[in-house]
Amino acid sequence: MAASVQIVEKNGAGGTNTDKTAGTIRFKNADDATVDTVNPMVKPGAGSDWSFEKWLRFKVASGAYTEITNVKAYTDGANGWTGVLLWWKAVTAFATPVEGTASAGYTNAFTYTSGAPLTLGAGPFTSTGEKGDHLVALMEVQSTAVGGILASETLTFVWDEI
Amino acid sequence: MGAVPQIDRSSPDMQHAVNGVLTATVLDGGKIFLRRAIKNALSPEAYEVNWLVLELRGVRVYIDGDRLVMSVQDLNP
Repeated sequence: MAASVQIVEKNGAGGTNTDKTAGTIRFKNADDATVDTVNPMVKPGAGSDWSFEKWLRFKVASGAYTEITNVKAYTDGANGWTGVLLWWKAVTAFATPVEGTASAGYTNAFTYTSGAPLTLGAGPFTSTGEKGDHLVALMEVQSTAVGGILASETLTFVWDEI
Repeated sequence: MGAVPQIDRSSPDMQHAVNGVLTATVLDGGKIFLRRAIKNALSPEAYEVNWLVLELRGVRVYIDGDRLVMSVQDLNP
């Protein structure tokens, strides 16, 4: 029996887990896992509107396996949004999500592709629970953005398992 | 979600794996592992891809169902 894996969103000071594997994360001006239109990102007249950080992590929920290695994440390499940027970084220790102010320390998420993914942990990892680094994502809405709810972007999590 | 291939490691010198379509065997100190992925993660369209990967002396065979790719590259689903 293989590992049963989830991708969880972590919120609040305690990093409360919400399974988002087949769900949706909504970038907003608040730290919560709710997919709604409360606390929306706002298209600015000038400059940028920054979202709260989204802290995502690879989690082995159950199953039996020997070890997991090479946990990575990547996009399709194509930003389908206008005036909206997505930034990623890998962080080991959880911290309460805060509102972003700049992209310093982050990398354009769409530069992470199947050929050049973001490394979240070489491992080896064993047992259940959260594994590897957090993927911290930040959205930047610029004045050139189009208003309304945007089409979704998706990503891929990949790992090796024996 | 797709079925996960099974690997038999009962012999240190010969490893087998089955994926429901074929049986793969690696000899001579090679190894077999799973390269697993969640595609379209964070969306209702999320699904798993489960490749078998056979590696011998730096050459890998990536197996997805009945499709095989042989390469020295590190390929991802």
